[in-house]
Amino acid sequence: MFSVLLAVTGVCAGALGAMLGIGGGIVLVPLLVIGLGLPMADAVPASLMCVVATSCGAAANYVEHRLADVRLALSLELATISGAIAGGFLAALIAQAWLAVVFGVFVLVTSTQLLRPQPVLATAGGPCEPVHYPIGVSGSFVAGGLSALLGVGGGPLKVPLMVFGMRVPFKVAAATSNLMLGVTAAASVVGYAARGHLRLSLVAPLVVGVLLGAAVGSRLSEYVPTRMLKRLFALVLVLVGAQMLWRGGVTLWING
Amino acid sequence: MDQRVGEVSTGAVAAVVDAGEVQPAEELIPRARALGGERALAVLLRAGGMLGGACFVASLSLRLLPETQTVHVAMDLLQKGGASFLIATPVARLGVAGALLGLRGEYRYAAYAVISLGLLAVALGAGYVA
Repeated sequence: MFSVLLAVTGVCAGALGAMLGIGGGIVLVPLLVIGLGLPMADAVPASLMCVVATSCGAAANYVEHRLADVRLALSLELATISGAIAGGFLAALIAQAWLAVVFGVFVLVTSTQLLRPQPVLATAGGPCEPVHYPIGVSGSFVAGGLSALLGVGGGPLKVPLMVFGMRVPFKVAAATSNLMLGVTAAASVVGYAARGHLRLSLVAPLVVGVLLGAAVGSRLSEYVPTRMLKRLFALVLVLVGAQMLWRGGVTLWING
Repeated sequence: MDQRVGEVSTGAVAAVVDAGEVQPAEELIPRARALGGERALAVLLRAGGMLGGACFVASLSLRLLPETQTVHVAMDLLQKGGASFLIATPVARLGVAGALLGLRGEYRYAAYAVISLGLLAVALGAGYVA
């Protein structure tokens, strides 16, 4: 029965993660910890494995239907990986509580931006050409660093970065983010597995659900109106922002 | 004249007007730039996902059997196999995408892929977890 519950949770997380380009970890960790009572030490590696599964399950459709921009993904992946490594080295030097608060505020502001009317794009129906690569690359470097410092996935940062900074249509940005997330999550999973922190008996039903959800979500995303996807994404950003403000605020409060 | 209009402020579906004819909505979804090997990449990603998923489904189905040493070992192997397929797929995708673009003469992207793979290898070798 517990396995069925995990699989259903995986379906929801996979579908949402695939449609929004966030991988699903943001949704999955609270569901596993608060909803199913699993320890954080088990939930985080399991959710990372699910991010890999979401990426595999959804990216196939996105690449085949040319929703994911492979060139853009390669460019930003390099910056993200470099940023994540730099973030790992800087972890001891940066006040993570303040960073969480700043990140929380930034994410909340971004969520309001997503709900505002967007400028008309001239690429619908044709291939989109991302612009302002320096903004995208430097933003991805920061996103990689933040994901290492705060433990948040890159999706909530990279999708708005591509949409607002590089003028990539939302659906292409979400699909490209989905493609990118798999690589960094896979590297993280290997790290956890090497330390013996990956519980495969827990992962098995989750991954089966996530693969199903991601396949459905990636097909659905072509038909769901962009406006609805943006609202969903904004809602996820509000949750992430609130979580970061809470985390940072509590730490700052305790430390005086 | 091909006048393209994207998503407007209301979020309504955009319209492509070509000589006064409105195209069906499904043709108006924005697309990424063509790669030339989309099918190969999609097959790779789908195969990795399906193989990983199949291993996990098989391991779950073994839970229905009476628990013996053999069943336990088989489940463990299938779970490890499934995880390995899934983990290897995005990394292989990175390599194949770089190779495809390199074959098209877009060496910059091939170099990005090689450097990314190198950085991942170094990071993993150093025991780093993002």
